[in-house]
Amino acid sequence: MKKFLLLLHEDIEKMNELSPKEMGELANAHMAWATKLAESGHLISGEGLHEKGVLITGKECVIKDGPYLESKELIGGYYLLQANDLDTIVQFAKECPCHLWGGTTEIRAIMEMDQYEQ
Amino acid sequence: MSNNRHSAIEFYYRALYGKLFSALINQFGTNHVNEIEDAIQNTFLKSLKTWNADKIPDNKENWLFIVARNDVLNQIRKKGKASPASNLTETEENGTAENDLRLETILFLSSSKKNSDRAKVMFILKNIFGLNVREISESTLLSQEAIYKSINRAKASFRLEFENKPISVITKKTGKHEIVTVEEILYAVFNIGFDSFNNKIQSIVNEDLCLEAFAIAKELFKKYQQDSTKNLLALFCFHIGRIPAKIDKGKLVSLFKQDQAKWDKKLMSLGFSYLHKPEKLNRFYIESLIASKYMTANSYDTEHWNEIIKLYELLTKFHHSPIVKLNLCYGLHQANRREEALILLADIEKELPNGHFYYSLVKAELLKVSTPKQSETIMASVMDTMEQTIRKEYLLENGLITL
Repeated sequence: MKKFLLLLHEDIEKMNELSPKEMGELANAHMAWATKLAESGHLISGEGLHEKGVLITGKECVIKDGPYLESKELIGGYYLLQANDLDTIVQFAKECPCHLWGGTTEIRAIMEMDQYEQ
Repeated sequence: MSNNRHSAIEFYYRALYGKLFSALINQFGTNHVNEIEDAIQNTFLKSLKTWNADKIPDNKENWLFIVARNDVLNQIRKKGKASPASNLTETEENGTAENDLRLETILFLSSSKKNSDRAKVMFILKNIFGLNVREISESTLLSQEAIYKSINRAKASFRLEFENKPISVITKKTGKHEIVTVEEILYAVFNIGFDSFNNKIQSIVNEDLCLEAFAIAKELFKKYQQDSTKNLLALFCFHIGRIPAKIDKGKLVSLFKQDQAKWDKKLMSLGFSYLHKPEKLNRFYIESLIASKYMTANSYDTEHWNEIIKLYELLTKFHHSPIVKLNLCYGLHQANRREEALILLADIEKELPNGHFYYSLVKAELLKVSTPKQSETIMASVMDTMEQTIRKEYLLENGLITL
């Protein structure tokens, strides 16, 4: 099976405007979706990420504290998934609750050396 | 199996918001309403990141409470305000979200002398019933800006009025006046839920808001055993019992045309069990009598309408509202007492803003036979100013207007 990294980009502005009811529905949708991934055997791991972080750039190691709101989107979490093909992951990602409020999902296949030998 | 698992971890953040807010304001007081609001918002956003069902703490409500409380403490420390550390130990024992302090908090907010009832309702809708400004605007037809301003003003005057007074001390002094205010506020919240036109999702009733007002009214009755609260409960039952018949295939159905088989019989009989004549008459008793008459009438004939008229006449003595008078007016019209209706209508006009929706509808109905042209003009202007599709459809389909 191949491995994929699924990144969840969230629209921070929209998230901050959600009402308690909408947030509750979103929280429940996320849990239901994660449960579905786990039960189908595609989930390896997955976590939410804090908004705050540190950026270290260049040889000088310039340190910058986040959040980095140059864009209104921020990576809010990731999933490490496994499947036989990309299409299976695309189908799952389409249902990701992150899309309900203007978010974007990004799928990146994990590079495996044996793929180059074929 | 996954269904069970899902429902077991499902949480209703809207109701939880009110519980958390109440617990936190009881601990931190009215000085820190802004910090409390931000803390709950932050906490909910954080909880969105705990996707993994296995990682959810056993008692999620309590966990959310602790996260929110620490958030408030951090904000206060950052702003360099006095540390309320003395309150901390006390909270561990009794300040958790499990201990539902919503009724106490409503009682406390109701005792304010500096805020109007309307301002209290807005504040309570947001912080106890967990609606955001956008949702309040959608259910009340007030602009978001007006609601936002009203809530901010209320916040400031609560802070001034109750500064450094522990909430528990104030609620212990609860008297009849505060209970009556709470009843009025719960009824207002209920009505907002009952008439919650939402164009976006095409819904007419915000049922969970109604049920929550009902649940808190039950608590109020349990605690203070007032006749008026019992009457309010009867009224809630009759209204909630009709919700299943209020909408049919996405269309609004008037009370007189509803499929009575769809009325919830259990709630109706519960309503009758609450319907006891109080020692001192009050508006809720009379209103629940009216509702029960509508729900038990065999036909809406003149005799029925004359009974309704008597009750509305009585109600005007207990509740001075032009809307009650309009209902009376409509009853008189239905009982073929048109002249009386027209005299009363002229009287009401002075009490309402120009082009009032319900007033215009009743007036158009009254003038339909005598001066049909005038009636049509009124209806046309109602349609022009009407923004809600679902109400427009209702008017069109019921022949109240022809385009």
